[in-house]
Amino acid sequence: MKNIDSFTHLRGESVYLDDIPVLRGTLYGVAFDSPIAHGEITKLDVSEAESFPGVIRVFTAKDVPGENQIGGIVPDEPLFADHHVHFCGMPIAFVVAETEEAARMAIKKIKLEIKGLPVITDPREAQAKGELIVPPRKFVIGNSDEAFSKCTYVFEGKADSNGQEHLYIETQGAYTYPMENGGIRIHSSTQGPTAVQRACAKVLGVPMHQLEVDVTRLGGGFGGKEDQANTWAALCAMASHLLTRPVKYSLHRMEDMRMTGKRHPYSSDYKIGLSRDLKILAYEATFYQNAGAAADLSPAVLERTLFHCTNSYFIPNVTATAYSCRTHLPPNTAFRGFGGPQGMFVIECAIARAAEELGVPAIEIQKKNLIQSGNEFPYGQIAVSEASECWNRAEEVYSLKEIIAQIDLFNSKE
Amino acid sequence: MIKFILNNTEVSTDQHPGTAVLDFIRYRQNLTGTKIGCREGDCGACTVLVGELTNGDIRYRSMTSCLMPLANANGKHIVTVEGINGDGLNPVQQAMYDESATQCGFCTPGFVMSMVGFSLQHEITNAPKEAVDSVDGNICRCTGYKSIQRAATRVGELVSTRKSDPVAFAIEQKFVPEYFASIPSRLKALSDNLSAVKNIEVADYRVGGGTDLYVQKHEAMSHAKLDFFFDNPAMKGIRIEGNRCILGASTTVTDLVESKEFRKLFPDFEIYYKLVSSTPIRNMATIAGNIVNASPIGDFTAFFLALNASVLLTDDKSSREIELRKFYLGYKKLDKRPEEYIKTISFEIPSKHTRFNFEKVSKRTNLDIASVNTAIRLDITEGIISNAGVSAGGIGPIPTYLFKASEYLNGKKVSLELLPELISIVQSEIAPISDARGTEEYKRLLLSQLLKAHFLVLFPELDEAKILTI
Ligand SMILES: Cc1cc2nc3c(=O)[nH]c(=O)nc-3n(C[C@H](O)[C@H](O)[C@H](O)COP(=O)(O)OP(=O)(O)OC[C@H]3O[C@@H](n4cnc5c(N)ncnc54)[C@H](O)[C@@H]3O)c2cc1C
Ligand code: FES
Ligand code: FES
Repeated sequence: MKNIDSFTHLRGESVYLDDIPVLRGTLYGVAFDSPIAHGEITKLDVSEAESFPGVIRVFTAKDVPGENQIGGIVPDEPLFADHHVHFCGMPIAFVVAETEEAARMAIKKIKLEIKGLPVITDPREAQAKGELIVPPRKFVIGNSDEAFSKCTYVFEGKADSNGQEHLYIETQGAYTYPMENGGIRIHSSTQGPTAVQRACAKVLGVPMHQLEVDVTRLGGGFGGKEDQANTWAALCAMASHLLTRPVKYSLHRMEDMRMTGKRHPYSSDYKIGLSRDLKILAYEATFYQNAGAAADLSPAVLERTLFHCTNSYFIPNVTATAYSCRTHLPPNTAFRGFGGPQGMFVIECAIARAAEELGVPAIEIQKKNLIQSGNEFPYGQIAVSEASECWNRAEEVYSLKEIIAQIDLFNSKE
Repeated sequence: MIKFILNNTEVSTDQHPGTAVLDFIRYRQNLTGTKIGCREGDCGACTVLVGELTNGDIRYRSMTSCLMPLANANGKHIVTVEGINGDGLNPVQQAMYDESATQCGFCTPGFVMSMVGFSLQHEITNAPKEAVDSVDGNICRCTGYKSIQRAATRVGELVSTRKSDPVAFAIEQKFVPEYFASIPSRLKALSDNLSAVKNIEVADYRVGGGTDLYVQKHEAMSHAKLDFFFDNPAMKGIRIEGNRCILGASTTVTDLVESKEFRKLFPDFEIYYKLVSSTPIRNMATIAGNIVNASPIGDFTAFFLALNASVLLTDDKSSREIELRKFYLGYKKLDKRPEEYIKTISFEIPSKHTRFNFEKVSKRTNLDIASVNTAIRLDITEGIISNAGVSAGGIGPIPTYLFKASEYLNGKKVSLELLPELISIVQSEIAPISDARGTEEYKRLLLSQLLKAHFLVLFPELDEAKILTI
């Protein structure tokens, strides 16, 4: 599949955020972020930073003209930490200077005192303490409790999948400048221009039509530049609004990795029940999603986990429960698959476990339980399925039998 | 004044010589095709080509401009993607276009430059494979690499038809524009009125290739007082004197790779060097830099420790030679006064009785630092080990010469039975810590396994199955 901009990409002529020619008078911003995961700010003194040569202003929560709030689905994410910090990397101040270098040096002059508070990084601990982003979600089909009692084999276990950094090669960033009649143009390296527009309008306290979001092309963000692009756009837009100057912030890789959310780590419990002939009759799963410090897109990601909790299999009795747990990590966010992989991983762990215990190849269980047209998913959708055809084709195309034979031969050697 | 040719234009600048070439080309010259992904040499988005005239011969090498000081561009030809663009797409760009090898496009100019650099490379033996190897320093997050691999293979196939001089061929095939033909004479003219970047009496930092300094001291480099060693002619060159091989301090990994004399001493060097960083980093990284950086997981530190190499230190008034194995006093603590610097590194050349091996395990095969590495050198006469040197990295605070293990092997007859005792001695003289690269236990196990790997490689006559069950 060819990208429509291949020609200019290959010649290095495509214009990304940091390639936009800067306007006269452009200022450069850099965020000052929390060094710890959870705490109460007892002292914040930006005066020395503000008097650093080249520095124009240092903004903090009290400077926000509109609402200090950028949460998309749930309004639970302050742009600037106010009295508390909720994750390591949370913006506390935004230094704006005549050069990027001055801004970076001035940051070191900010005096911050924080009283550390207990840190939660484990979603199960958060759930136990009632720290939930949204109420739990549950998908039920059939009656799993009853079905388990009829199963020949029942296995239980725990499956953990960890986070993942997007590492989009272009880091996050924004470049904003005032237009006529109080408007602001926002260039943002975003996948969600509307989210940027909405978040910035809220922070600035202006109607959305005053803000024009410009992004030449989407792609290469892998989910990491949906809601997570809002922060930088809002910081720059606010500075442009208050100073009536162009303001730019293109993050260093280290800042980006430190301050932005990643793929959600999950910790999950499963229980799987099979008949003597290896049909999966019942499945129970509880997902503890590590959402980080704010909702971001977590509730939607959580739902997708539930949608995919039985992967491509038909299971007549399912109870799947999911908790979106508030911890002190940067707010985790969309990432290729959007929660789907975290759901599929758990059922695959359950099948692998059953296969191991029963001494049969996992593919035997997988193949036997593929969803067929007319079967129902746990959320009620009736499947139109090509799963078996697809499976059979793949067996043929990739010569599955031969591959297995080769593996067995290899493993039979010492 | 630093002078060089940037694409097709002579430039001179009085910018601070420590400014990263990347910042100069993007923000001073407004050439935005060269991208910033990491500023740490890891992603390759900032890759440029650096052409250098040596003995009338021009060689181009890929380098990561984020780690390259402006001073190291002095007198050279710096090529960015703008400098290779012709009318439409060149063969690299076309191959990437046809194979859908660009998606978000941010990594793309870096890949293009690495492959164009390959098309200009002198020695080529297996072009399709080597073309793929040439992008070992580039990261792409979109494509999954398969399309890029296909494109590189096509580029390699085209280059394998080359019969003429690399630059002439590259011009003829439109890899690079015509003006490349004029570069050697223009560089020559430039060199006639070139001044060396001023050596500073008391420098904050001495810069070799910059591949450690620009990662560790990024912010300081564009202000600090710097002395530049990379192009210092007195610190270049690989020569053999009597039974010793002498490397100038600023010898790069690529210099070793391209040195026929050196390669003759280590026939398996190709296996080793491919495990070290990436093509552009190897083009910049110097051996003295690796030694003085003193990372406990440095690769050439382990390599040269096993060879019982020495370094020649000088403060320009007096010099002294010190064995590398006595050079490291503690974590990043060296037996070196601040005024002293390394002039040369030397070691006794392996004889026909010498067997040598280097092993490295890291989380990724390419572009990764070691979890554990180790090297071994054994002189063997009539089945008896007359002189042994064993080193390891990642198992303590310094690049470690395993004194006890080496001592144990001396005078022993080569046999399988040496291994259990060797392993237990090694285990007693190492102190790995648990970190991101592995737990203490894992690193201990790794080193034991790598000692077995040494035996497997060095003594094919021993029973493989038995070694594996020790
Ligand atoms: C992406 C990446 C991957 C890497 N992978 C590897 C790897 O796989 N294995 C590995 O071992 N290393 C690796 N490195 C580290 C680095 O490339 C090597 O250590 C390299 O040899 C350093 O040499 P340099 O000339 O670039 O050092 P510089 O950064 O120029 O200098 C390093 C230190 O040496 C000092 N120095 C340099 N020359 C002299 C001299 N002649 N006398 C006294 N002091 C001197 C400098 O002052 C500085 O303290 C990697 C680095 C990067 C960026
Ligand atoms: S910016 Fe990533 S290697 Fe230079
Ligand atoms: S095309 Fe997007 S990172 Fe390579």
